[in-house]
Amino acid sequence: MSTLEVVDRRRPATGSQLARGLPGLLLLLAVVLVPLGRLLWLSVTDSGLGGSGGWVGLDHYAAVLGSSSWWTTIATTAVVTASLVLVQLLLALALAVALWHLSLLWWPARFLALVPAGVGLVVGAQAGRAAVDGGFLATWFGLGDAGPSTVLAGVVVGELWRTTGLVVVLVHVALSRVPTPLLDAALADGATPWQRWWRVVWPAVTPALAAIVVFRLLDSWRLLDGPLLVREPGSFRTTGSALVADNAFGAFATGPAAAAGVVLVLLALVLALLTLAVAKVVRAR
Amino acid sequence: MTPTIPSVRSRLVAALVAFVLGFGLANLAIFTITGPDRVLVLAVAGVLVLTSAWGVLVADSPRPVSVWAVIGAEAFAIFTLVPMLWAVALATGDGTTPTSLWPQAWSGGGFADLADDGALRSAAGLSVSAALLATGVAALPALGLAALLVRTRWRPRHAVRTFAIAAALLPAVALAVGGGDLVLRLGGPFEDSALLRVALVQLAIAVPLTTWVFTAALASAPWNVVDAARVVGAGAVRVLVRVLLPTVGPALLVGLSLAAVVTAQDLALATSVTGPQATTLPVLLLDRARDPSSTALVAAAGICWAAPVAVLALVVPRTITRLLGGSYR
Amino acid sequence: MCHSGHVTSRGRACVVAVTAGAIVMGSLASCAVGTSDADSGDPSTLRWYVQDAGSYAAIARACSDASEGAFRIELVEAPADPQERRTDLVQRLRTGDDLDLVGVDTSAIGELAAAELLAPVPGDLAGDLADGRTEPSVAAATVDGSLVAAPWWYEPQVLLHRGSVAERAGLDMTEAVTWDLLSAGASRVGGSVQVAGSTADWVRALVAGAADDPDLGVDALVSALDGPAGTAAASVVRTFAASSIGPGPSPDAAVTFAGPGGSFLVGPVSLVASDALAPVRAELRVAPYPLTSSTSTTSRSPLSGTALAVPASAADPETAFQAVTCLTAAPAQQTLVAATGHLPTLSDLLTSTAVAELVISPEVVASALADGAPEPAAPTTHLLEQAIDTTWAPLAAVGPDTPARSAAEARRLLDGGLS
Repeated sequence: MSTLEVVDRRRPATGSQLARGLPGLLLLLAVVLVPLGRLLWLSVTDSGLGGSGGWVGLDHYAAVLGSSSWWTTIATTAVVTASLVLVQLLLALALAVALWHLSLLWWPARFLALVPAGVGLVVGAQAGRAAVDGGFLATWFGLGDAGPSTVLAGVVVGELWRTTGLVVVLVHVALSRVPTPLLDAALADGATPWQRWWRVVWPAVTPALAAIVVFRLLDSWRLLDGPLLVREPGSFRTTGSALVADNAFGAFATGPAAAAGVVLVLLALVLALLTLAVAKVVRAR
Repeated sequence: MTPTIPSVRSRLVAALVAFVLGFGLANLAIFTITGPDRVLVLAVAGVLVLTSAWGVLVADSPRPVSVWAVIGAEAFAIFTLVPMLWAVALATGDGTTPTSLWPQAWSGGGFADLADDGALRSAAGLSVSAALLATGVAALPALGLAALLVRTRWRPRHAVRTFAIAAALLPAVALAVGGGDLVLRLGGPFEDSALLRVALVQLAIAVPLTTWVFTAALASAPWNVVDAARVVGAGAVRVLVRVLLPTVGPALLVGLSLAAVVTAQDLALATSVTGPQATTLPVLLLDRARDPSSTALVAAAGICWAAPVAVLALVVPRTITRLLGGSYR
Repeated sequence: MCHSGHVTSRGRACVVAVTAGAIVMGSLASCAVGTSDADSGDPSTLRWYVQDAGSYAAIARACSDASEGAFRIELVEAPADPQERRTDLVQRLRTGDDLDLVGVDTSAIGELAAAELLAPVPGDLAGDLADGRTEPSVAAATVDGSLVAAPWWYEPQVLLHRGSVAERAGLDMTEAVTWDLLSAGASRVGGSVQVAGSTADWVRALVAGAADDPDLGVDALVSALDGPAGTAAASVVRTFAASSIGPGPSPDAAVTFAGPGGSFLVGPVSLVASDALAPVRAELRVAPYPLTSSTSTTSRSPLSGTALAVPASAADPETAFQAVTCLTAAPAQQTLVAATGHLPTLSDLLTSTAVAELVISPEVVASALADGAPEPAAPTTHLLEQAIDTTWAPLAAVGPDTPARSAAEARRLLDGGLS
């Protein structure tokens, strides 16, 4: 945005800068790695309620990976994540471009975009569920009795509403960083709107979009509140996070829950790396 | 961006799309929707049809105005306002799920219950104090770390920043299973105080989040002015008071508030260390939301819970935008 | 952030930002007043966690008064649903909620004891708490040979019917009838058979009836499910579902039974005294729990109850056990019967006039207690119940392969699978 970022004014770290950064670094590593380490330990020991705490090796992993309910849940999570992120990204892109053209409206629009994020996750999910389960959407479109899939879709719509505003703001920031001289030059050269979009704007915003997609993928992957709200016993229309939470804090089966948690984290990392790799390929072309 | 003049064809196509959308909505309103919602949807359809008419009128106007953008802005307004109206309808209802989008009861509904609900108030208190405590503890160390990441050529800076972002985006439930188990084993003050337990386990998201927003905030600090001040002999305190506090101070404060808001919305970590006797608002709301008769109460609590974000979005929208923009650089 | 733009606007923005931050922080902080960390300091207050707490106010008050200032009992309501109750209680005990007395379902005793969440019963007290109690109620509170909770109430399920409906259906209610005859009879007269209690209780009793062995452990029950006993149980459930005589296990069973057209109700004997059945109390008749099949000879009624325990985390276990002693003593047991209809565990009281008046048919209850199928007092009982509850519902979907599927699900859960 300003010349400050263009010129890298970084210098090698001085001793005092390192000393000031060190407590933060240690704290960061501790608060993340200690729970994760404990998670790993719990996943290889008999750690449930009344468990002996003894070593069980990979038994919990075998139980988790060998269970069809786990993979059904992961499939549900993948579908929820993919549809949520895809719809959200297209929607946010369209809305942000529109608002980018109407700079006068940006001030009120930004307020409307940010407020839903403050509503708690449970509340957004509840509003979404209520809308399809007896609420206005059910009345308008005659949805009748809402099954588990419908209410899950409802809470995903609630999450879509809660977070799309944030994505609109993020995309808008990315758009407003497209260098004006480039756009003006393209205009002077007589480029059509489509040419301006694909040749100038799109290459400029792809890195930002890739980052936004990764943020949203990971955040949707861990969706917990809504699925916990609408899950039914025995039904696997729920997300991985909700399944882990149910096993850990409902059934107190800490061992299997910890193993499932480890797998969930690994899948999240794979998801993020894959997205970044795809983004790199897209950018290179 | 530089205003451009769309082609006549583009404007006419946009007008056609607006008309089709408006016509479709009007049909939906007339044939399937009843009650006050019909008027509401008809009004929206009317706006779209008017947009279409206006689009035809300005089709060959030399003014740099895009009909597509106007339709987009209208869509944005619908997309954000309809759920907000729905939340209000839920909150003002009599407890059961209202069947129409337009609030029917206006009975004070959930807001009145909110005032009488001691458990909800103490849960909100625990949420807020724990989030403030966790982010407060995280603030100073995270500031030092963020300065190191932003200001220097320190070799692992990219890896550390990526680690912080990844930690903030990991499934919190995984951290909750491990962290909660450890925290519940702690004795002393942690055994008796839900506040300390929640704050301690929530550090797992508060520290990465705070580090992340602080790097975003510090990235836009006028380091050239700082360097210049140093060169002319200003001391560290003077630089801090005269240059850094006025420039990045507000961003740091707003960033810290945002980190606190996100931490306070955590469900998984709080669940792992609290029981029904004293728990946080998200956990309590999840419990209440399962009971259909508490619909109004939960929606009302959600609207009140959004107040800090609304205040921030109203007063310092540019700071928030900058922080969000700086979050992925 | 404020470095771009004009100095004046930057200054203003900063002031505004600082003010906003202060407002938000301030408003958040002001909400924080009254953070609830309940007063755990007063040792003379005992918090008693129990379902249907309102009914026990009188008992709690009487024992508080009798203690002459040693303690004061405060009631904490537990969730009505058994699965929710278990989760809620374990979560409370793990996270240090200051409970001093807990009413534990007999199905959860084994698990809580194995997890060391219950305070050990002092040696000298164990004998007193078990003394004079019905035999199955003591067994249900005994884990590995030692008493872990005080038997409080314990009761069988029975078959209730209204007025002359049994005669019209052609059923001789002096002996236990089979489920299939009951289904056919009710269907013939256009009546209904309501089932109170959980699916797990029902299936467990059916399996115990078919195996003709009341005291099956968790592993034995799983094997039985996989064999002829499981097939017999599934056949009963399928006939029931095909007869369209009711929804099967439901929390609304008692209310539906008392409503128009209600004819049969299978459920805990304490339902006789419930408010739901008050309108039809005069025409209530009691019969033994139905038999699984015509080859069964003995009625195997599902037995369950609640025992009183002291959590391991209780501040003052000695005072808490003092309260337990009072709450399970004869006077409190009498009040219990009068207030809730739950069967006391003191054998002497079971034959008293108060109980006889309540349960209408004391012989039925006595033989049900003697022959009934108790919940195994094992740490894994809840896993078996969970497996049954998820695989035997909805009733219409129960088929010939359901018992094998439920056994497989139970084995998967017992092996540490995800629930």
